[in-house]
Amino acid sequence: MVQTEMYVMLAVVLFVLGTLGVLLRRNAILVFMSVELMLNAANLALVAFARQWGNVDGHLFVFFVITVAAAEVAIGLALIVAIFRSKKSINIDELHQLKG
Amino acid sequence: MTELWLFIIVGAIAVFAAVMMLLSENAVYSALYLILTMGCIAFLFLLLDAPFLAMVQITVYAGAIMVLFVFVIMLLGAERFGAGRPRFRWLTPLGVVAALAFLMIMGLGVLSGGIDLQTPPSDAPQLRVINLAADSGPIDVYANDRLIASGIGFNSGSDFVTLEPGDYEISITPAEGETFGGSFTFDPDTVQALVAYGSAGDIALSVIPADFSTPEKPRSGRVTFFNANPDYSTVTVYDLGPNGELDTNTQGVVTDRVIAELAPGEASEPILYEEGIYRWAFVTPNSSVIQRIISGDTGREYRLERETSQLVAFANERSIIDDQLHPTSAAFRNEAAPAFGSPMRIGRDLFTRFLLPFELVSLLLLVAMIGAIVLTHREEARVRDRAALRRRVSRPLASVIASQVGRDISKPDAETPALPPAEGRTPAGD
Repeated sequence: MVQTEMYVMLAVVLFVLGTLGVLLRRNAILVFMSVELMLNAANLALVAFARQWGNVDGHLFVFFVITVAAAEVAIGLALIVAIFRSKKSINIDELHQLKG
Repeated sequence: MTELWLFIIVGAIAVFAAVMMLLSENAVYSALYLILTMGCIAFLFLLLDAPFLAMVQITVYAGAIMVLFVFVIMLLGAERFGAGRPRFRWLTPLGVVAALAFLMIMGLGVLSGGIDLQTPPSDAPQLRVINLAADSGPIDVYANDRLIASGIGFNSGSDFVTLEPGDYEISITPAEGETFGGSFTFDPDTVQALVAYGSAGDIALSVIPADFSTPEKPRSGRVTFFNANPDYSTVTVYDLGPNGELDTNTQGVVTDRVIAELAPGEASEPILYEEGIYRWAFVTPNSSVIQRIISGDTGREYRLERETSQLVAFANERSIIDDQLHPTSAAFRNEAAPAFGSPMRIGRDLFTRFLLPFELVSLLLLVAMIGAIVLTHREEARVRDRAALRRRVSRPLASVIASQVGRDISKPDAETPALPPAEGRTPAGD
């Protein structure tokens, strides 16, 4: 059995990579995908802890995270499409005004 | 060891794909690398005993969500957006430093044993009461003066009750006969059955562990035998096999013995059997006569179902025919708890303890669906604007047509004249 610490370490590495994507990439869709990667890393840690303690609650949390992520993707991509229509761009550096 | 290597390989692929997602200039490549990462994470879920979540991860994440991403990227033609010079040049080194600092803090915390993984929270002990005491009538059971089960008749059991861990003074009040009891200690993380056996006036208590985990072998059930008959010093259980007879070898020794010599109030270790039909017999020491074939669904046969946990007891019962105590058998069947991480286990928890969050999440999905429609809904261009748009777009085409046919069809006066009334044909109504 692989130690839980190793899974948590892998989850931390993936989370940091997702953070880097959010900070460094300027394509709004890529920023969004990086957020998904961070959610996945958190899910991995949750499942690892669930196995460590033999408690199935962690699995349920992951299930809810996946559901909420689906809702978030629907809204987020709709926002990106709407922004693209008005700005003709989804470069987040250019989206620095509240004006539509 | 194989598992460790699998973890290392799959984890390395996941990290590699995540890095490539960050570095790819083309957003479509990034999306494909992210799908690879999610597939690797689904594989790790399998290693972590979460098969249901692995499938959900593949279908919902790597499937539905990523298809949505790729679709939007292709719809907007956004493969290469944001590739130019960054507006905030200081953000890149700052972001890398901040991320590395975060990685170091978290990594040091994990690697130095900063997270306590060794002391899982313990579950409260659970207890059920089974009445196998002849002549006692329905019994009420108190634990430290708290009523935990009432009206448990002969040959029946109560539901499981959750108790605080600790020492308990159990007292049992039968409908007929005197109150009796004993002290027991219930430890955390235990599931037990408290069995009252004997006969009225001479009732004894025994606590036996109840194991409701999924049997390790597939398509099998777990059977625990219990001797609840104080009239005999021991009882031996035989599996009669399909012929219903005791088989003996050449020396005349019975070969198909299952459990040897259970003393009264003693339970056997749980035994795993494949599902099927069994004929068991209890034999007492002073007679080689089979006392009773365990009664089951079909009288002489006992049907054992898969993924059940059964307590089969040998007890005394007062016959209504001759008013004497006769040996009898009783079976208490429970569904085994579904395996950890299985769809059934998750579904059961989802519809019991997590019903409210489940409903809230479904409501959230509905709101998200409506929100996506509202956000991307575009006001229909007004009719006049649309007409102007069409004129503007079709002008070059109209000029081509004008040069071909000799008149300008875009001018209102040059529009096609109304169709002449149809000749040689009268409206049907006249």
